[in-house]
Amino acid sequence: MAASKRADRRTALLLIAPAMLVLVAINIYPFIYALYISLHTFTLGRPTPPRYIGWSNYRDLLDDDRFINSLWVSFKFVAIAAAVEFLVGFALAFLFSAKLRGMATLRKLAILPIMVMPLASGLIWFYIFNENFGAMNWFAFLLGAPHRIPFLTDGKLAILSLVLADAWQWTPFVMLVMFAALQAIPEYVYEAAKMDGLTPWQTFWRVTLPLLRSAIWVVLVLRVVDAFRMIELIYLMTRGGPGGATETLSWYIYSTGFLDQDLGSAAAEAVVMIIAVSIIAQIFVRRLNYGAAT
Amino acid sequence: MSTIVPDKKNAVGAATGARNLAIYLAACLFVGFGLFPLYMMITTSLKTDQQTFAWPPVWLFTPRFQSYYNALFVFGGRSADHYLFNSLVVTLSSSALAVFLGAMAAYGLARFRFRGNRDVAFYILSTRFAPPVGFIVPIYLMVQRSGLLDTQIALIVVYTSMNLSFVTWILRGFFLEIPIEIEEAALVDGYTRWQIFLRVALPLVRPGLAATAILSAIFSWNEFLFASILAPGDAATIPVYLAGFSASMNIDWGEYMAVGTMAVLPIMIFTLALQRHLVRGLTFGAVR
Amino acid sequence: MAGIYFRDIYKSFGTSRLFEGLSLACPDRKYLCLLGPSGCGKTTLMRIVAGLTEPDSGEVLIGDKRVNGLPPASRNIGLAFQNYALYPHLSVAGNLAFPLRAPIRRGRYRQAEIEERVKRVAALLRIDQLLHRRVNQLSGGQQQRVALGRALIHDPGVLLLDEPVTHLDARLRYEMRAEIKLLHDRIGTTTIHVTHDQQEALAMGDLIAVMRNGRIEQLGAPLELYHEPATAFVAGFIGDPPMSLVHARLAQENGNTIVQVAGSSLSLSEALAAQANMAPSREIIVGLRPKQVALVERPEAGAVATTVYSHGRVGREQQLVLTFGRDEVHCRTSSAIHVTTGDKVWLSISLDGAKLFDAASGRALAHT
Ligand SMILES: Nc1ncnc2c1ncn2[C@@H]1O[C@H](COP(=O)(O)OP(=O)(O)OP(=O)(O)O)[C@@H](O)[C@H]1O
Ligand SMILES: [Mg+2]
Repeated sequence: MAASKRADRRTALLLIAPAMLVLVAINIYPFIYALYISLHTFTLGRPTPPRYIGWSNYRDLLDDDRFINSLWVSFKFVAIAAAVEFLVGFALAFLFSAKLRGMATLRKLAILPIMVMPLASGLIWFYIFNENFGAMNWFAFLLGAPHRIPFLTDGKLAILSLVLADAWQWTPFVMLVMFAALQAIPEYVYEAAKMDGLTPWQTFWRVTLPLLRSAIWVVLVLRVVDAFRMIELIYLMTRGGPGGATETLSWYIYSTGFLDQDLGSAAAEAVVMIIAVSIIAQIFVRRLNYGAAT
Repeated sequence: MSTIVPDKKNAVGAATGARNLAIYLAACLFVGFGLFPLYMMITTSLKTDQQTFAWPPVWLFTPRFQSYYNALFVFGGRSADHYLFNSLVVTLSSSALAVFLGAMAAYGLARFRFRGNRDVAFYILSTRFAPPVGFIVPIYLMVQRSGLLDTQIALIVVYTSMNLSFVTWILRGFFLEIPIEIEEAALVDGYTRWQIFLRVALPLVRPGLAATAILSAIFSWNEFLFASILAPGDAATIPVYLAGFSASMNIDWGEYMAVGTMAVLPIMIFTLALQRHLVRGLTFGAVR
Repeated sequence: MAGIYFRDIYKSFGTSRLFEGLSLACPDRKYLCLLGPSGCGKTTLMRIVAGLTEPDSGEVLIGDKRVNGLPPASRNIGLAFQNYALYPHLSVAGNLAFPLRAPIRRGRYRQAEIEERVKRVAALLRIDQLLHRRVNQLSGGQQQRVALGRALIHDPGVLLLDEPVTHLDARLRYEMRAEIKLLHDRIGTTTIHVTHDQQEALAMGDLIAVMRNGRIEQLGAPLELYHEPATAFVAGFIGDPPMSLVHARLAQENGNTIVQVAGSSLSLSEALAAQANMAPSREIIVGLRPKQVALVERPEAGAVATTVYSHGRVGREQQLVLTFGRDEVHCRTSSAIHVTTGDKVWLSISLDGAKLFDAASGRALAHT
């Protein structure tokens, strides 16, 4: 419908402008501001005005072992968490598709963790992983562990404990989305595959999987991006420790900026992170064929 | 291997009986794993300190509500209800704003052709991926400069912007599903575009408005990072209050879990209410 | 009230050109049926009147007022969409009252008058017992009436109905046709009614405009189109069955003009011969009504060899479709004659009352 083009354009502008204004103020402007800060020494709570120092905050990052370590820890955490959540969640989606009585109720219960306040989930898991009285050690004891297990204070275990807590919350999410995507595949597709003599295994690889492609893509990117930004569990359970073993990039930025009060370096790290995530997001946005709807 | 293909027919026989049992067991195991931490939270909030620190853990006990009473009425300084109220104010305002602004933008993107329409739409989508911690430093400084530190306004604006991307994307999908003729009919009947938006389009996407409002509310309610930096004191929301507990050396687990339970249970109810649109919301319409 | 006039309308969608200089007039108080195959541009033409689509150039007039660029609301039209486009969130009464409550008519109707009008239109369309129902609880026929009522309720100057009965079942379709026609007789609003059903157009229109590929092939009264089709396309579109169109060639024999069809020579009446002599080329198309063709037992002079393509009973008669060359012919015979698909039969053709068209342009020879 195109009656008077100019009036239309004005209406469109009026409709979109308020939202864009908010986004410019809270998304675009802060990014530019972060760039600006990252070129300065900038210390929180000190009265000296910020001083321009060029790219040296960025140069310092290259020599910063903690920064390099945080990249590596982030990578480890994201890779393990996303892989576990995706594979288990995907398998569970098939499990929960079984047409059995009571399955719908079980499914509703299974997705309850998704919306739990992440900080509260950190709190609960902190309690469960407690070395002295936590339930996790009790289970370990029942399974015959010879001594208390330091779930949160051993470097190797700590990151796996974080993964478990993260997976507790997000595996149901993967399950839910993949379940919905599975339900969207019409029955006749499977009937046709059966007529064509495909084995269940072949049907999975050649029919089901290709039809689930865009859902898989969405879920994977969301899990990667959100695991990358996760901070609440670390805040409550490990605070980056022990010895930097769980210091992800997110946590490192948070602690540089607000624990060490070095805003200039934190801004430089933030710019690196935003650019990294933007690249992932761009790939994602390009791949999704939302265009069909426009 | 037969679970590879969703089983939609009820076959009979002993083999399927055994298979169904296995499926039930696996499903129950997973549900148990999911509910166990929630169970731990709720039971701990009902235990005495002695029961909390007992080894082996106490599984059977008489519940008491002392921790709730303490958290709400006894604790020194501000008590939990103050922060619950802060959370409520911030959550309601920011979701109302996000849904209203998002609906306007979504309608503009869905119904008007103009140069750069797609670019704007994709930009709004891409803000969903912006890592909050990457923006925390500049936003902190902006809020500080404008004197809004430790106010609810700062949080409301930030949460509105964080929720805008998925609200806009989901509602855009809902608007695109309205047959264009219905709106053209209103145009012929004598309505302006703006009134068509308010009186025809908005009522028709009511389920979408409800879904996005609930999702925004949940995200705002749960948000911790910005809250902890921008509103650490009087305007703190419930997650900030919760986090404050862990900073003290001597954790009052009972009270801690009581506040946690009060913060989480309302969300559980919302989640169940949202069932139908949850997937669509969480994947901004990419999967239904 | 007002007539509707198109003057030299051009409209393209991207690279595909739909209207190239279309002109059409629907005089005041007339009921014009816009008839044409799917995709010929009927809906687009309606949308141009309504102002939902703007032409690239050319004028649209309602009455003596040029409406180009005027927003739809200011054109004072009633439009019933092909798919009803009712407001799903409103009741029947809400849908009917919606145009009256529009800001453009603010202050014109008092609440009492709105209710009064809703009641009157509902009674007129016999949906008064449904006023408080949600529209998605209505049957197709009832929704159709609501759509019609919504188009009528504010006394529009012109009424546009886009395939208003196409989606109804046969019985309802006949009923609704009669009712719409009756309504027009009573209120006399200038109406354009889009359809691709020629029977409907013949039954309802004061005037019929036959469209094809964005062009008006012919505008005229129903009988005029039936008896004097201006083009081969119109001849092949109107009538039940429509005229059969047969390719033929003009030739001279003993100083007389004759027509050669599939190797047979047919002579022309004097009037037809006069028309034939005006033909721009020798290649013509002959339009034949079923009564002008007859099956014959064996090859006789002037008979054409054909193949039975299909056959079906219509009461005591049977209707045959016969093919030869690239043409097909509709023919009626007594059902006593037994034929099956694929049979070879002979057909005798009488040119008495036939129509002649130029093969290249499709125009009727008499009308050049
Ligand atoms: N908005 C548009 N964009 C591009 N092409 C269009 C548009 N609207 C119509 N067309 C094209 O114009 C031609 C005429 O369309 P129109 O809808 O007017 O046909 P119609 O005669 O109403 O057909 P039907 O009987 O199927 O409703 C078609 O080829 C169509 O593809
Ligand atoms: Mg049409």
